[in-house]
Amino acid sequence: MVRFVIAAGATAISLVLLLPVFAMSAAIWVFVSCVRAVSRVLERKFVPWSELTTFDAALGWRPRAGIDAHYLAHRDDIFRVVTDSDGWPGRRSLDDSAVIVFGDSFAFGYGVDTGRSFADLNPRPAIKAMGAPGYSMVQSVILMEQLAERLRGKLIVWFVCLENDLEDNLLPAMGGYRAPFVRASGTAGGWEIAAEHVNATPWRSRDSGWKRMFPKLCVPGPIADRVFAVSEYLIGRASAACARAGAHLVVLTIPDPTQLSYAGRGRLATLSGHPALCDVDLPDKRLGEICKRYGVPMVVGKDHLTSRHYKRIEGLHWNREGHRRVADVVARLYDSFKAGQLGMRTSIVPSGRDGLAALHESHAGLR
Amino acid sequence: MTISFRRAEVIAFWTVATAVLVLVLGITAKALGSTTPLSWAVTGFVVLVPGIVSRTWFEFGVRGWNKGVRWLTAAMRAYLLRICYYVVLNSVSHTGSALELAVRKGDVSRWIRRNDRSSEGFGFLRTGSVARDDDQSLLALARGPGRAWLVSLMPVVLLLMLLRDEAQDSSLPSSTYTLY
Repeated sequence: MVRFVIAAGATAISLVLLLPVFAMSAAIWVFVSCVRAVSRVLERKFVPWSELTTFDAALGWRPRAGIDAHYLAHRDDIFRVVTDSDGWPGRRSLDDSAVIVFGDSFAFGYGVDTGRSFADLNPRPAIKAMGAPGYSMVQSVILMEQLAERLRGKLIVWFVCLENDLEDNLLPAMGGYRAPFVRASGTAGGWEIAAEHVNATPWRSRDSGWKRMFPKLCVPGPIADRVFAVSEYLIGRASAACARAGAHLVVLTIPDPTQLSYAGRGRLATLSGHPALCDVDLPDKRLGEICKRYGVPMVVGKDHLTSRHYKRIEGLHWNREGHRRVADVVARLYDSFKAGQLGMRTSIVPSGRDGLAALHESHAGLR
Repeated sequence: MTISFRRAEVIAFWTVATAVLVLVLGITAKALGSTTPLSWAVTGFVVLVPGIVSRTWFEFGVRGWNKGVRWLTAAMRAYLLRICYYVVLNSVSHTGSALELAVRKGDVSRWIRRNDRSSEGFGFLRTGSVARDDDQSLLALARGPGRAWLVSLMPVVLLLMLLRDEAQDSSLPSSTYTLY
């Protein structure tokens, strides 16, 4: 009882002392509640991303077919997504398209409304994007092989996101989603795509503490060697699939925003573990060498994109300006393809110079 | 307490902020004896003008709010916990403790054997009548004998809930950027 009386007295004193805190908290809470109420009226209803994807036995997951809905992009905003009867973004069919773009969330147009991505900004060529958030290069190869018959005579542009695609090729899951991946086949130096673990049940192994290994790919070493060996295997398979189908494959690398700023390059150098050896162009150089071996033209995205083409707050995907820039790059690639001038690009162009012009020059040189 | 950068929330933030500013200017002008409080109130819309030139202005506003609120809530949390400790807990501590922390004759340490004294001290959080009722809220704890004083902590707990650190609530693993 004595304790209760003392506590009551102390509480009375503390309440007086806490009056400013109560008043301030109440004012902020009322203000924020008003903001939330108004925003609820203004904002479109959206569905969770998990409701927009479905299980796919070969790919792990794919967007649901025939969607017309809104979703909330992580650390971003609400966007509209429209998919065709196969689940790929946009209503345009693969057969009606002259250019097919394979890739991950960049190809999907994550973070912009469907219809405002690179695939729809130019009236021609007709572009069909075939990709989904979280895809690695493995899913692109599987799709190219699955759809080979329908790719005949088309320009195939393969978006390779340097930040995560290269390492995701080796991982059996993306978060809770099981994914096909590349493993050593057991035969001398060979690789294979493993997919027997892919089913609809969630992948239980937690990867929440996983750090992206992109910085390690900017320095020579065993990690980079393994990652690029796997990339070579996949590019070889994609190149063979396109060659068999009579399609023309072009690889377009997508830089990470950290590669495009002075501060970002410094951060990459620190995270790489070997600042003196760190070369942010190394992933492009190694992919360029691989593409050269398979006769696949490669466009270095870093030559065309700057940090202002990326979302400032979300910090990973392209903004509208970025999609516009990529739409122009793809359109020019198509023009070169139609003119029979699509050559090989295997070197890094000094900054300030137009990468596509160099691509044409290198082709002329080859001829 | 923070505002996200979603278009709708940014628009809502500026709508409410401008309305509050207009109201405050109008009331202040009236209180100071102005004959044209409405004109003063309308000047509140000036805060939106830089946004016509650059939409980044609207983003800056939200950034500023978030930064201010984070700083303010952290400061208020610190103040609140100090008041709680020095005023409430310090006063209550003079009435003694049920933990029997004093060293008794023959004791070799002050460690409390959990099995023997589970209904005393911190044991009441896991066992005893509270656990049997399957209700571990502060009010439920206060129902026990000699614990009525815990009710005095309610204002502190409520304020702490309101001023919680949102960065901890919303932090996501850096590797999950697309699917979740």
